Amino acid sequence: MNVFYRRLFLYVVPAILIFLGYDKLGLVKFENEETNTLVKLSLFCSGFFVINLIVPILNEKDKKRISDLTDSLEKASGNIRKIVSGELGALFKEKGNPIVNITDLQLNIRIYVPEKRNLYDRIFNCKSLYFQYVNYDSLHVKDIGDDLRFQVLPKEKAQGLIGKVYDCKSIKYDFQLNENIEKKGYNLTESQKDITGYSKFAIVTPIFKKRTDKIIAIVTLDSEIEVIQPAGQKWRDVIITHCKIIHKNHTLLNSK
Amino acid sequence: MATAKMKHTQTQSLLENLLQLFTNGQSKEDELELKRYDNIRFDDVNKEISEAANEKKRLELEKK
Repeated sequence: MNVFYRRLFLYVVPAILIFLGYDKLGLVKFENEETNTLVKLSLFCSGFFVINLIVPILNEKDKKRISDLTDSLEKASGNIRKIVSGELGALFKEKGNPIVNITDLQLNIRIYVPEKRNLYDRIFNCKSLYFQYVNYDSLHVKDIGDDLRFQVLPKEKAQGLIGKVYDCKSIKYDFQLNENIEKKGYNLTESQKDITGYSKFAIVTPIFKKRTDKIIAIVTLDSEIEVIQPAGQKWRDVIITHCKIIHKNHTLLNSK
Repeated sequence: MATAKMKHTQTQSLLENLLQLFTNGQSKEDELELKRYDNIRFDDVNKEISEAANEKKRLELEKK
């Protein structure tokens, strides 16, 4: 049965049972007063039992199942990170980059989602939008905490590669990130510079909402390892495939 | 070089397989949905910033 209908059934049926059991309208009526009381009491107790015992148990089971699925998905994404890291490492090494071995790229995959806004912000700051970092342990080597966000709207105030990607809806990369941050090419605050200052390069990709051009997440791939921009199409193919996997997996983006 | 190329083919196909695993049983519409990423543009921001800086310099020189 569809989950929605199962939920509806589990909430509506006990509500009806309790309503009938507590009946003041005389919908349940037997000639014998004793039978009448007994039936009403049974209906009330059944409804009460389902809503206070069965429903919470099923909810807990669902919660555990979702949490297990999220864990598995996170682990799978962690393994995908290692594959992408290895693959890009191998490709970059081909171009004479100073990488000792292919696992050495130490890629961090970071996911940013639109920041949830309260009613006040929705009304009075409706033209301003931030993308907030969501910290998934399996997706990075270097932990940067949870307090990182970039402004993407209004366009003139857009910050970092995240802001540029949101504006252009294209994949943006910078293999001289440090230098360009110093040159103030990214409009970053001191705190943002402190947190992201470690990364030597970054490739940033948008993830679109189904059937629309709306960006539901922005994914960054960065590393502390300095590399030279490789020529050719191969590394772009890897990024595109990764984008597609993240797009299919975007439930993960909403699970935290 | 040959080993590196072989490794690329292997891992790229591994990624493709993973993608297939995630997209198994998807509709034609979903397939089209993913195809939009094939046409996505790659922009080199370093180049953009350098060009913007050069343009600024050029304009400053013109003013003088």
